[in-house]
Amino acid sequence: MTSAGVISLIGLALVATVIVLLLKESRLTTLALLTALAAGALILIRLLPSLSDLLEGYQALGAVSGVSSYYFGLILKIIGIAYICEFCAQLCRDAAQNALALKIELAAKVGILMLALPVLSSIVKTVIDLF
Amino acid sequence: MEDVSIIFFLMALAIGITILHTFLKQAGRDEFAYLALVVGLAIGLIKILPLIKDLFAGVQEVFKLYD
Repeated sequence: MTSAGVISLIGLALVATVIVLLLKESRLTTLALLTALAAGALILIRLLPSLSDLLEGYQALGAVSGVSSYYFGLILKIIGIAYICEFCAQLCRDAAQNALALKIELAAKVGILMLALPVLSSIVKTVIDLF
Repeated sequence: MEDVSIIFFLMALAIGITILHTFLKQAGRDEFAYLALVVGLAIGLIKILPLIKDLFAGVQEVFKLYD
């Protein structure tokens, strides 16, 4: 993600905001939400390649440090769930649907806890074995 | 369609629909005016769906969320 990339993202976001406001003013609120959704998706799609390079770098770092890659895969999944659920929850808040946003965040939490369960249980087992 | 132009496509669509909506309202056809809104929304949705599909496919591929 070069600085030029960031600047082009900012440009995209500003243009999208202006267009969403224009649509909202002309009573086309549904289309305004659609453009907000499209702009958000565009920005996230543009971020994906550099995000995957970043994660590969951290994975290489993790491999050097001797931590088993299972835990890193778990962290990767958790970040993924948070990444996409946050996108959708904020969008629902834009459309003044706080109830929906909270439900999506609840779903994200359940998903993350499901992933973290084996790790937690192994920690508890090791602690119990100590005594 | 290169990604930024999707937003401009939606804006052009919205302007067209607003003009059509007010024109139909002036001509006294309120139900067609409302229908124009619904059709415009449908076109916008169809235009955006592949973009959302790419986003979800990309996230699944980057974060390896395959289960």
